[in-house]
Amino acid sequence: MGGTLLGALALAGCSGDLSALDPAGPAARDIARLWWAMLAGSVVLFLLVMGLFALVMLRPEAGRRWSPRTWIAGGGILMPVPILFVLVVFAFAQGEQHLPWRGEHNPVRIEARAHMWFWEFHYLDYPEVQPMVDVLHIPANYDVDVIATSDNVIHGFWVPRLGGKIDATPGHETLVRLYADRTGSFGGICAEYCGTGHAGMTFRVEAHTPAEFRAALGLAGEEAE
Amino acid sequence: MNGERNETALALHRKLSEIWGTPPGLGKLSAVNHTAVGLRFIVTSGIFFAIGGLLAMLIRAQLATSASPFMEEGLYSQVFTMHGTIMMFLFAIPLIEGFAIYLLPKLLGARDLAFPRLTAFGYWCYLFGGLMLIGALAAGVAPDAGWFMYTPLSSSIHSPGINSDVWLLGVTFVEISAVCAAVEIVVSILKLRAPGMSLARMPILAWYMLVVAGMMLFAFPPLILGSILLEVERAFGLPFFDPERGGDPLLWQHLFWLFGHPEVYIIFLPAAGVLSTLIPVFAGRPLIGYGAVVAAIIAMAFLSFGLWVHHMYMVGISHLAMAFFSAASALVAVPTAIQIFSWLATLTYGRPRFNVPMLYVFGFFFVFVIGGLTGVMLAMIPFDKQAHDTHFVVAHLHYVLIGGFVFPMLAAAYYWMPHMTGRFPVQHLSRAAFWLIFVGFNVTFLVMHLTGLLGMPRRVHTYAAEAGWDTLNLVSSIGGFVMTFGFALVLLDFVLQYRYGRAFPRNPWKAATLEWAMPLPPPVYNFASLPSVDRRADRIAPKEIGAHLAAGRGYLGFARNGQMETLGVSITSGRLEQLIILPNNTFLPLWTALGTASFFLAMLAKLYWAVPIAMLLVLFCALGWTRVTGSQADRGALPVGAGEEAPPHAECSGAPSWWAMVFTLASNATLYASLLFGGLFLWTSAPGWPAEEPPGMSLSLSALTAGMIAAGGVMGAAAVRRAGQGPRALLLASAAAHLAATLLLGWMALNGVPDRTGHALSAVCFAVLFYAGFHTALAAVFALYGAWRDATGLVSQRRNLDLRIGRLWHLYTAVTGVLGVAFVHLLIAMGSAGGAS
Amino acid sequence: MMRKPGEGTVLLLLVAGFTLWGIAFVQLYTFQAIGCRLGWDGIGIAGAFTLQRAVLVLSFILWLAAHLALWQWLRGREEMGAQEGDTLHRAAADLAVAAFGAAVFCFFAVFWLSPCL
Ligand code: HEM
Ligand SMILES: [Cu+2]
Ligand SMILES: [Cu+2]
Repeated sequence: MGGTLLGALALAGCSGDLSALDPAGPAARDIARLWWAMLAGSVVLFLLVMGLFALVMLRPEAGRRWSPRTWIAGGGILMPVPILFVLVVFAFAQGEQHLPWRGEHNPVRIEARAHMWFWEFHYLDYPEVQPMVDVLHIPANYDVDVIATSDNVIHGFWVPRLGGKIDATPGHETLVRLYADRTGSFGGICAEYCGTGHAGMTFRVEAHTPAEFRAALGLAGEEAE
Repeated sequence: MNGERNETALALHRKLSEIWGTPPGLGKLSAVNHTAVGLRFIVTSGIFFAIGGLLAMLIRAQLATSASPFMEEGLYSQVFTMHGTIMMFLFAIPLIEGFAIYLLPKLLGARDLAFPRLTAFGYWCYLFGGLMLIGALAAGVAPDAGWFMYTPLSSSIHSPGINSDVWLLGVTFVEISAVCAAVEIVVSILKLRAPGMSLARMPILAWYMLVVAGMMLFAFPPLILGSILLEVERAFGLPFFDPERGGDPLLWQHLFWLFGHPEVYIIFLPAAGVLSTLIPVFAGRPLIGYGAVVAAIIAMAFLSFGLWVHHMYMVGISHLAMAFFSAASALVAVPTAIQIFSWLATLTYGRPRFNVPMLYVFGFFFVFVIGGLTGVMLAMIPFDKQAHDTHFVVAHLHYVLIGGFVFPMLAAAYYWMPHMTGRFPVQHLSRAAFWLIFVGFNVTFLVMHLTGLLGMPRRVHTYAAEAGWDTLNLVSSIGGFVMTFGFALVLLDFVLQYRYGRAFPRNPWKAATLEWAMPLPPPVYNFASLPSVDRRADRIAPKEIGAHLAAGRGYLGFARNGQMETLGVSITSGRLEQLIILPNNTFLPLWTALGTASFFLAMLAKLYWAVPIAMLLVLFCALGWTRVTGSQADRGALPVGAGEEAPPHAECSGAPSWWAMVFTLASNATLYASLLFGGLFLWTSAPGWPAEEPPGMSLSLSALTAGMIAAGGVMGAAAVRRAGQGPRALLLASAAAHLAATLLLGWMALNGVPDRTGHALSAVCFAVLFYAGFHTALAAVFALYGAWRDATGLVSQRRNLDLRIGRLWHLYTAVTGVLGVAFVHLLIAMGSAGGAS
Repeated sequence: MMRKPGEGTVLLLLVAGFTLWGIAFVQLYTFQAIGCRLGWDGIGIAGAFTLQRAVLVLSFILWLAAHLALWQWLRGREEMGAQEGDTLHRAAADLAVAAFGAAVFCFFAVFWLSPCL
């Protein structure tokens, strides 16, 4: 009972328009899970080290049941290396999963051009659609590839509830895959410091059903992807 | 011991004080003594810490609520940029330097560091560079592009004012001091120890400082290079980072973080060294796992150079490449864990005492472990894609820096303050201060992790109320002020201790290292006579040894010709090898630093005509340094007490200055390698390659140039063998070849690379040729200097040190010069339209 | 002049293992970047196994062999044992093993992850 209540409270505390802990897509959800798992592991390790510190300070003789070698090789190598290895392999697998190359369909491709200080979104698959400023329409339950670039300073494209961020660097095109598994409106923000307008460089991502998506872009009729 | 030299302890003390002391009044500015200069470093860095802390308070006040930001965004950006810059460059690194400068000779049983004048020069560079930055802050033109100064935000298009120049020039100025200190520390640890102290007997802190100084030699050059290139781009338009002209903003990021990540470990390792020193003392037994700790810190030093891309996961590097760095970042936790468990083992096998320094050790464990764990989290690429550039990172970095540096250094302060003042602190106040800092810190930064995960980016001056970050930020701000109060109490505590602390007998902590084997506060000459060490130097008995040394019964327990003398040993075995005669107090370091300052100010004020004048001024001052060195006659082995003899260092193959040149060149080579790497990097990554109008280089002219460089170098190097039998002809020929090479390189750079401001390919070629030309010009100076020393009778077959140091420079110039010419050709072939690829 | 060969050699031995690791790091990272630049990952060898991956995997294996060779050599030196430097020769050999482990840990992903995406 109490546990569920606490859990609910924690979840409520984690919600928010820009919260990475309130995921609305698979990438963000994977990462949030990774975070909770790492947090749990870290709490255990932290308590272990502090417990040992208390032990050796308060009852040093108790720690002498392990040889110095056991302390150093055991605590310094045998304990951390397997933990780190598992963690690294897991994170690599997840990273590979999030790369923008899997998926059954061709993703919707969008170019996010960063300006000082607003975002301009070009719908590469729909050349007839006018670029939009600070609003990005995407289809829900569909892969979306955002190609970020800039012709001024470096900015960071970030929609915390949908997935990780990517820099928009002048002279480069970088790619991040977004996927919203529900319709709705999600906050976006510039992550990389880009001058005095940085704090105000926010935008919105609207995820729609296919029909709504076409309507939002002002496209006529139904057309299969 | 020689009978006639047997003197009473007091008379000896008087004589040595007179020789080693610093004159009063304005003469204080001429001080080169390591105790004096070390304390100056420490106090100055403390003042900068206070300024940086004040800025932190402004930040926390600004962010306390979403409603009432009191700074507008332009000012706020200066405040956070300066907070980070001051804390990293003007507080942390200089504090480490000061700490090492103050302590090392005392710990190693020497009377001073190897190059006292360089110590003083480093201090002045630090002070003047710091004042440039603070002056800009006061004038409202402080740097404002964040402490890592990403281009193009810091480039002239987006930062036309002098703000960025202040950072690039001021920080480079301070870095010069850091590299000087690094060279000095490495050489002093390797050569200036008590006889008998082999490497394996060094106190563990010396190992830490050796590794740290070594890291500084290799970590700072990439940033120095980056700063020079960016300043050149800003001032003269050569594009290295401008993507419109074949440059790449990512090059800056690589150069910056290639420095920036090792920097974090450069800050952490000395603090860990403090812990490895203090914990055994308070456990009442020597450190367990000495060898494992030495291995761990060496591993850590290397690993820390393989992590830098973890600051760049967002820039679009391939997953496999990021994985190398991600794994290395995770792995660096292992040597950290080895040290932590060595400390725990030491405590458990000892009888731990709990007192104020140990309280800070507890603070370290608590805070740093959390910082280390969040560090491993951030090393994981997917997680960092969310947490990067948010307040989660701000929280993490403060857990590491305050937990891993500030807490241990406060422990060190409480531990060694009695050494510096000869007095003991008032315990109650110390404890209250600790708890305020500890609680305040955790309140400030623990919740900040959550703030970040809820989406708050770093470096924002305001945020929307709807974001829901108000409560967390308010808590952080309150915690911040509690912590500040704690720091104020620490300051008060120190002042009280200094004024009213009770005096105490020698060695209050029952430590077993050499720095406690002297009267406190320490005399200017450290030891009235120098010890010999027959066991690991953290197991000695300071009381007995101290009395023995004070009575002048060790080495050099006498004054000779008013000379400042200390001993040099062979690197590994610590066998007595040479008598090192140190230069006395002088204003030259101050003048040289002022000359250097005029160079930086001329750059800052864009008075480019004055820049070469300032450079000549510096060269002139630097030559002045050599006036007091050298002797007209071979002296051979001289008595050093205890019945032993040693030749003066100028007659030894492994003289400190020779080693200093070796390490300086190693550092210089890193800078050069970074430059060549930069060229290749632009070829692989930058937009706008291949270049449309590549530079044209005539092959025969290049071959001639390379030949000249090589000839100059080989002749300059060969002169050593003719020392004592007329090396002058060779040296003059070498100088002539070097001058010819300089002219040829100049001609190539100016004529062969016409489009310097048009494309990065040309800019890189120009930079490489300039580097080579700069070195040949200096090589000519070295050759002429050698000839002059020979002409004035200062060179003989035994006294060939000047020529051997010159030989190092000549060979380095020859190799890098020839390589540079070849590299230019290669890069042009690869990087021009119509060439390969 | 009194030149004593070998002064400070033990320091070189201490850093030998991780210097090798560092060189391996630079080589792999550089070849990864150059390979992508030159399109090696488009050149198939067997199925999904591209020239790019072949180069990296081969380098990785060679580096591991080099690490092992270095370790053997250092162990030999340790056994010959200069008495005074014992701790340090020991540490040098330990560091060589550690560097081998670090190489495995840091570079095993050459078998697996996307090299150019
Ligand atoms: C005295 C208590 C301190 C407080 C309350 C504090 C607070 C802060 C805050 C709130 C920021 C984030 C500013 C922003 O992103 O808008 C920050 C940034 C930073 N702090 Fe501190 N800090 C303190 C001490 C330190 C210390 C001791 C160091 C280093 C030794 C340090 C190094 C940094 C760095 C490098 C940054 C990044 C600056 C940038 O983003 O350009 N701070 N600090
Ligand atoms: Cu921004
Ligand atoms: Cu880092």
